[in-house]
Amino acid sequence: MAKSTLKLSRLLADEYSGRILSLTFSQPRSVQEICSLSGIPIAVAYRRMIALEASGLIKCLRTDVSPTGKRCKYYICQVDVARLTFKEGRFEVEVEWRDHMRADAIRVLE
Amino acid sequence: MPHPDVFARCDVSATNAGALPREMIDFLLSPGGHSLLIKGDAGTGKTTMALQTIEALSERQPEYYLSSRVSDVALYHQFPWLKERVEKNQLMKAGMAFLRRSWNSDGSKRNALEDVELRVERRELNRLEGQIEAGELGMEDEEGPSLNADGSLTVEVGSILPELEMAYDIAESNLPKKTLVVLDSVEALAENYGIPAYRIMNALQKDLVEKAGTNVIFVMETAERNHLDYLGDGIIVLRNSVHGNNRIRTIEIEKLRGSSIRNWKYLFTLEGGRVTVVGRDLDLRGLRLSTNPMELPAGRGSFGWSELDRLFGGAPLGSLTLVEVGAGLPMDLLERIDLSLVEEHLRKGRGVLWYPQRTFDHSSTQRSMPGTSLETLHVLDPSEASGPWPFVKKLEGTDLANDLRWDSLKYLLKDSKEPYLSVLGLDALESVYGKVGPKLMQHVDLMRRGGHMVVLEATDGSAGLETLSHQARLHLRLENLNGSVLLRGIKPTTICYCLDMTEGVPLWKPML
Repeated sequence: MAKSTLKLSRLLADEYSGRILSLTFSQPRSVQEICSLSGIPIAVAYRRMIALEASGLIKCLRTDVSPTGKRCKYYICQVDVARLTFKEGRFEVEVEWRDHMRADAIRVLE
Repeated sequence: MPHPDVFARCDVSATNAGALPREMIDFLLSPGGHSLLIKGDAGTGKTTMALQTIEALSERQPEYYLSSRVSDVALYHQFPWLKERVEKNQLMKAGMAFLRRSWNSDGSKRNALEDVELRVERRELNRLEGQIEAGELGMEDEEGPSLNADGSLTVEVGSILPELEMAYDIAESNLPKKTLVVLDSVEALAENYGIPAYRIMNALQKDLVEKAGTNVIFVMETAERNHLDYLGDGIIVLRNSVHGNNRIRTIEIEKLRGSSIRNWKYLFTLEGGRVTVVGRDLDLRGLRLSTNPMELPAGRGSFGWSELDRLFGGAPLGSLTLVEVGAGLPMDLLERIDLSLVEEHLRKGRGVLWYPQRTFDHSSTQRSMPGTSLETLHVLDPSEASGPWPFVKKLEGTDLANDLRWDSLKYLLKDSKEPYLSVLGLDALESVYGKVGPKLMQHVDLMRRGGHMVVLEATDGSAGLETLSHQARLHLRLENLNGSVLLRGIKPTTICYCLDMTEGVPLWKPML
């Protein structure tokens, strides 16, 4: 499997990433909210969020700044459909974006 | 005369109930902030000790208790104040979150929290949060339990480690007064955050302990030495160990930086759900043992000490009772146990045969048992000492069977009431007669058949100990462990008891 396919498929199949995508699908949420609702350790959640954001699977919708100067980012899921298929000896990861203005689905082929 | 240090009463800090080592309390009360690691495996009493420390210092140091086990109902029963404090912490946490949200972003709306002039520097905490936010920090194993520490769903905007920030807030709001922060346990908190425990400890040590003068207790879930040990100013390890058939609990003080440690090891009990340190190196001079005011059941004879009667129901008549004595026991206690036993039976006019385990001055016998008639007392003495003591029966010291001939003893006891009492020191007999097994048993058998009471005192060095243990119906063992006096029943098996003098009278307290 190609490196990029492997990375994306691992990210989509990861339990914590799955929870984050589910929780941010219908409304934007902060990392703290996600941790409180899902029980994901905060440091783990931040690491996943960074990986998901880098892959474009989530995006930061807005950033609030608390009076104490702390930033609080709200993320929303960008994925509409994700498919991992194995056909004729080839793996394929296909992502359809919720934002239909974006380019067509990512297709990562081996 | 000054009290020699070696006999000094165990110095403990009594709380509402229970007692903690004085060294530990002094360490937390000494100037400046201190971190203390309370380490121990499951069930060793770490949480109880941490909560009791909060109680002991509650008058002087406001506290913040963060537990991964706050829903433990049993703890609420032991520490009724705990539920209220935990709820208060939750309210404060929610309240602080609300206040922060209500501030204007330009900071124009001030409130009490911001008006505090004394601040706790949060450099390490901010650094830690920054690293978490950047995704730079994580545990190697990320698949551990992911429950929140307290089940709370309170979300503080912009706060990555809300429980720790709460500790900082409380320490800050109490300044210049010292706060006691207790994290129970640091491993559970680290797991909840998904960061290494040492990062939490390091941040709190540098910010709270070293810069803000806060006391921080880290409860840790293992007694093993590890790389976290160097982070604490003090380390206390709680252990459970097996002693005979019993469990013994110990507190080991490994270090208390800047404080002197007089006793590095204490035995303790968790009786009543409280840590109670067992007294050690007790001063037992002039000890008096109270007699049993209650009637014992038929077939039982009193030990002359209500505490022994309470634990064992007295000694069985028509049977052998073996009292095994370990090394290092206070002589005052052993002598007083013997005297109380003998005195009890003399008061009732019963015939007493006594071959003492320890040499004693016959002239002091009456002084040791004031007001007690010695008419029915017969001290068996093979030595050549002589004097005007009618209660001393001289023995030849060559043939035990001959010296303990029943007809001659019966003659001695003819004016005494039954059942008779025979108190024999096995080591003393062996030192005079050599191996005494079969010949001694002749005497024991005759006493048993007559329904009398035979108490044999032996040390672990007695040659005949094992044989006589087989013959005994009741076998007790007194021993010295770490300077504390312990008692346990070997036959029948009982839990271990420790001698306690905190109320001024000697009591056997269960080692639970």
